[in-house]
Amino acid sequence: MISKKRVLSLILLVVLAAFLLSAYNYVRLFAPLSGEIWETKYSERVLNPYGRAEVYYDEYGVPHIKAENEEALAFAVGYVQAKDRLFQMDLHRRLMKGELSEVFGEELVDSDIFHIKMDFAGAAEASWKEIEGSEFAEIIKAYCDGVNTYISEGNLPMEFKILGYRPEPWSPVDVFLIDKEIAWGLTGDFHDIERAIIAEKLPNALELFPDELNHSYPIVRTEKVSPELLEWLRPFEREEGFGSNNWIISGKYTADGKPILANDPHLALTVPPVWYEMHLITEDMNVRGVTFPGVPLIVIGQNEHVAWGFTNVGADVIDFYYYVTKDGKYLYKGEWKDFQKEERILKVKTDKGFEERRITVKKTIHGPVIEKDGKEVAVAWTGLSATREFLAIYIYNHADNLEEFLEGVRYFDVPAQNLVYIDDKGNTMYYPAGRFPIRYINGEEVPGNIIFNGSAGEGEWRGFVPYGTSTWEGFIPFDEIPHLINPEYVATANQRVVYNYQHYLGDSNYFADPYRGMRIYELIDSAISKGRKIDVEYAMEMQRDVYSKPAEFFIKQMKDSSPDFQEGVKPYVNELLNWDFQMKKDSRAALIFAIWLKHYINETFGDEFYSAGLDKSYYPKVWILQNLDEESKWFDDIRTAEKETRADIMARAMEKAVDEIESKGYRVYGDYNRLKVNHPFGSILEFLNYPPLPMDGSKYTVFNFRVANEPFQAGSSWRMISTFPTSYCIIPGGNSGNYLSEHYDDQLEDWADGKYKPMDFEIRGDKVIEFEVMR
Amino acid sequence: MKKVALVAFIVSLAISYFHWIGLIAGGIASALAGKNILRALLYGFLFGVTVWVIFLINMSYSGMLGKYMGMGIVLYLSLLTSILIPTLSASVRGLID
Repeated sequence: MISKKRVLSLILLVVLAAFLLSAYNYVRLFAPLSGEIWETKYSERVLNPYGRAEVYYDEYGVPHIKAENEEALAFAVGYVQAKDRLFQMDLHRRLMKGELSEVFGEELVDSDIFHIKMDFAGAAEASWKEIEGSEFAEIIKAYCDGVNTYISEGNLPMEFKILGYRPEPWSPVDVFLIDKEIAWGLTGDFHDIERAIIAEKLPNALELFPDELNHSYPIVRTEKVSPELLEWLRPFEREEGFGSNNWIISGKYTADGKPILANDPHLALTVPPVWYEMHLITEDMNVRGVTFPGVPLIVIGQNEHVAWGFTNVGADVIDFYYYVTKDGKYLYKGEWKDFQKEERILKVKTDKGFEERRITVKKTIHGPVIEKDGKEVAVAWTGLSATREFLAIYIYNHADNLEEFLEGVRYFDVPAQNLVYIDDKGNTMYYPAGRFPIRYINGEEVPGNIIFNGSAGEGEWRGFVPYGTSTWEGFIPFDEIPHLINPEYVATANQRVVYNYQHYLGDSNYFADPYRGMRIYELIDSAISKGRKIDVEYAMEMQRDVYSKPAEFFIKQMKDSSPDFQEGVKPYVNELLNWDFQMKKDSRAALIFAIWLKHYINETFGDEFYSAGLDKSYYPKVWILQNLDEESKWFDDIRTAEKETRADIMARAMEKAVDEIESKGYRVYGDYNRLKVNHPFGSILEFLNYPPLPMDGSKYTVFNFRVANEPFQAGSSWRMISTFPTSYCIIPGGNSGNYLSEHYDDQLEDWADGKYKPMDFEIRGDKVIEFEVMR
Repeated sequence: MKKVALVAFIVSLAISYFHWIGLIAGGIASALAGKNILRALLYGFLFGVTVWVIFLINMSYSGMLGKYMGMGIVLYLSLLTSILIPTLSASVRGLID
């Protein structure tokens, strides 16, 4: 007879066995002391086949890397980036190669299919082949060796341990995949398809999408597609919320006579941040700033002699082509051609293991074919060719003066960027660098905002070779791109580059509302007209500016129109009418305005657009709404018998806004305008998310924060004020992607408060890694 | 026997630094030390608590205690692992008697 004690023991041991079997992974990962995720140690001495290097980490976790030659430096950079951001690097690589569903499952299959069909990997390979064999290629190879040394020897980030896989080695093509991702994120849009759908569904609305927005603040002051196809493509296009600010002010207007450059790119706010800060030193180079993890260069920053920054031009560098097809062939200039086809395998993680699916990559002479429900178009995008923007940036990193820097600008192909520049000799420059295609139909130059007849060879880009080396002769020649050498000041905020330019750069849908550009120019003009010399502190005040130009314009219209507001909303209206237009987190008027504007846009356009089967993503720019006549037909609600005017819609929007504010219990702007920056695992492991914070600013203010952006909020992803010798900067979060690091989110609150940290050329902090030469 | 149990206890702690199997070893050491199954379970529980407290000290020393305390479900899972495995392992006492 078995005793009760034995029975109890057996039961408890069975419970233990069951626990270990079911929770084995949790035990392996999270057991106190031995759990894999608690491991944070890294090697302090690493063999470097290229030479000696030293890594110092400063008080913000920024690596200062000093090496005896550039290859040794690149190796160390690769090692350090892998240490701090390897999971982020791998995630972005998987996105662009179409390999996310291998790790995350069915949910990301559509994303993978899109990225496989676009063959971004093929474009990255073409870019790598273009520079393979050059001096720069050796730097890339050394960088990859550094990343791979870390992958094979180092402690993998906790995300890999949780998901249970090891990353593949990092290759030079992967470096260029990151390049293609950035370029696509800034220029890959489907406005042309959207325009074609609007033309079909709601032709009258084309007047809301003019060739140019009628503002006076340019930078340079002198049935082939379907809604279903667009719906499918939308998640993969560049995000509407992306944009940026930069400006340069020559020494003529600055307090110390040296030029000042300010830049803050508005990109997705993510965990970890999009940017990684570094300081790189060799005998010939001393450069610091930020890069995209996976790239061994300073993308935005400065060396001891020159500083540079970017905003997105937003030009139309993507076109779509339809074809006459028969028996699986497409007609091209009178000849039936076979689609170029290639089978790829998509691995999808499922409950039963991995499932393999065949994806056909289909291409025409113009580019890859994307299709949904029988509707298909070929895509020509400048980034699908071999491009050399990383070579350009490599030259920027080394440039000592304007002449050397300009040599690099010539190589900047994609994404077209408003490049601003200053140097320690007092020079300034603005150059919207990039490749801008010129389209023709029957010998006549045409804009690129239509779907072209690919069978007739319409709108082709001469000299463009997708997935190969382009000769670019059908593009605006570099010297003819409107630019400014030694301007006194220039401000760019994604607004139209120039008016009445001889070539099409993009219609009004491609360029941002002009509000930020307007405000930046106002602030500079105002300082100059008052005789105030601009200094770093003033540039910081500008980057912190939360004055809303749309609020100024719309509230003036509200006063002029005198809407017949309901009694219950009048206290809210009074707050708006007595407001200073500052979008501050503790402002109630800012809250009322933000919610009201959202409803005002919807109440104006929603009736017509939704009736035509077009959702709010098709709405025109706010600038268009602001400039509608008081009696415009767009204010009339087509669902009512009466004829509504601007005043009626303003009043109706106010009622809706008040309802929303009261039902959601918002008190001030910061209750609505809250930072939510989440880690990819954040829905399960909430601690990986950044803490939510009330925020100042809006989509239209210089201090930029876009609360409603999907799937990520967007805003200033890097703030930099550059001058010589000391500059200032901040990133939204922290430099480390490792949760257990003290630098995971140590800059977040300062960033939200508009504070800065110094950025100079001193090596700071303790030496933490020493790279030794192999003997 | 007590000396053996103490040595086993210390060795188990040392193993716990490197592998979770140390938590089972700690439970078995507790079984050796316990006069009966209930005592063994109590010692196993105390071993788990000891491991967790040492872990907290470790995290504190590395400046990561605050981070750990903010980890929500991971914090609970690690605590559960620490307590449950040695406690249940100590039930082996019932088979020895």
